[in-house]
Amino acid sequence: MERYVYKRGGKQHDLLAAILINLLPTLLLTLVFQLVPILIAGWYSFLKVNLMAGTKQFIGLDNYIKAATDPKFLQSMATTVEYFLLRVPLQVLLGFLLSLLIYQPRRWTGVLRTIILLPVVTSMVVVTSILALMMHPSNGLINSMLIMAGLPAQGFLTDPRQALFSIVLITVWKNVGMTMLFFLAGLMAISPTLYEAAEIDGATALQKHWHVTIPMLKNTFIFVLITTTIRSFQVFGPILMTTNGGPLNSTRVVVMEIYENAFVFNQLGYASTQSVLLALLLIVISLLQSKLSGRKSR
Amino acid sequence: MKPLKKTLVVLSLALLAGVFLLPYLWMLGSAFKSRSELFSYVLPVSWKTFIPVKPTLDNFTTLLFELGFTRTILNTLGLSAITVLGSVLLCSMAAFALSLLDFPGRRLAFFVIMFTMMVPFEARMLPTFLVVQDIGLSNTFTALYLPWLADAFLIFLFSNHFAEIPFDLYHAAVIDGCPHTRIYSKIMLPNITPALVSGALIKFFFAWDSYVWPLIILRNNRFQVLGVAIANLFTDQSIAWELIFSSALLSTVPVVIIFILLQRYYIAGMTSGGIKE
Repeated sequence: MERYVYKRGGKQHDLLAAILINLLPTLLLTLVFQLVPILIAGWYSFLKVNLMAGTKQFIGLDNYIKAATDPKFLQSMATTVEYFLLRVPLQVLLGFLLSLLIYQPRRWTGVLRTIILLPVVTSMVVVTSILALMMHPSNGLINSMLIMAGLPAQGFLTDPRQALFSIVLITVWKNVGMTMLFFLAGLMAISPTLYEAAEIDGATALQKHWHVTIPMLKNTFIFVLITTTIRSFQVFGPILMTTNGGPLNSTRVVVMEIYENAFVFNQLGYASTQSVLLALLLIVISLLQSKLSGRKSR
Repeated sequence: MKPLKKTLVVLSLALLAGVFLLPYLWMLGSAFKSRSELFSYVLPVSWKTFIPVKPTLDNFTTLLFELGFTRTILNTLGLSAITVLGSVLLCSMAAFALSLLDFPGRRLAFFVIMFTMMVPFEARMLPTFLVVQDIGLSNTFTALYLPWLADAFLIFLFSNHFAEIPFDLYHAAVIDGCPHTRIYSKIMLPNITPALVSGALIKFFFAWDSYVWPLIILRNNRFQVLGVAIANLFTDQSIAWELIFSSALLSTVPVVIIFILLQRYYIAGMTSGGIKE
């Protein structure tokens, strides 16, 4: 694509001014609040920081060795993976089905789409509060309905076996509309002639989806799978608000572990190491995405 | 359609809508109940669970005049306004330079912005806190928005839209004597208004949702924002459910109104920034 080219030592002073005025503020903010923190985390990950004494001691790879053998950290990773395994298939499948349901324009599709998107824009704190109160063991709406249907009341966030899945339910309820939206965009891009050809060949509705929709949505599936995966490894807000990692550490995900080490135990070096490990993991997943979907970077 | 099949379709659609609407209806009704009424109709579930028998505004007066929510709401409005205006302005400026101009270092600048996008806030939480503390911004209002103005997602969104403007338009403006420094505001910005609205909405919902960052960076209540205030009501382990519901309603009403009015811009922005073939 065409651009106005500025050459070093050229006489296009107003072009140079335009570049500097427009780019520098954003670049400066990116450096100070995003790149420098990443570098600081990298540097701190090799340090033992003592806030009381105000000392910083270089300890090489000790923090990394500690992380690799720390049962608490490894357990938090395992819990995060478990959360990811529970959430991603549920959210992707539901999002896909919802998009199939409302993609043919009918009288009710617009309203339904708006309703499903409301939780996406509603604040996370509000969604978590209301859904957590709905799941309250003694006064929650869901248990009231279960009891009326003759079913036993559940512990939800207070039950170590159900807490992580309850967090999954909260986050999927909030975010499934976004997944649906990405699939809708993918569905809109499929040429109708493909379906017509399949119909002429005598394909049933199910066969049409299996042989046309799913292969044509391959890139959308990859995109949705990877972004939801990344989101799963970032999960934190709803857990900090509701269970704080409990009960019995059943919702102690990796960001919760980092948060506690950083802001409760003041283990700045070790928390930095864990941050670096999480960042590396997410960078690898992001790179995987650009590789798989073959997206051109400009 | 046969009547039976039609009834089934309508029923299942109503059920689906109910799954997403029920929490909102519960919040709406409970926000206008007294605590005793709220807990009286928990079981069995009836219309009284959702609709207040003796509606009251006491919860809202308590929040606004006793618990400091007037100030909290003004803080959140201010934070949202500054975040939206600042980030839309700065990111569209950067997108202009990155997508329509070429200069030594452009690829490096682009790479840095793209790289930082891959490391989400949760992995940068601690070091960003340390940086903000070191430059003396902790406990300030500035700390709430300044780290969030440069936003790679918005830069990509605006770049995509600038790239669709015919280059001849730029060229013609230069020939007509418009200096490069004024082309952004005079020629290019008016041409991507829909994208600016999309970006503004995305940023508004983001700023209105602030929770973890203000929780970490603020040590007193002066600049308290809604997210933290509601979460505090919730985590206090008190039984002031009626206050949780009414504060949640205060936070949700503006968001829902803005979304319903402008949703097509939000949808266009979210999907065009994500997957572009």
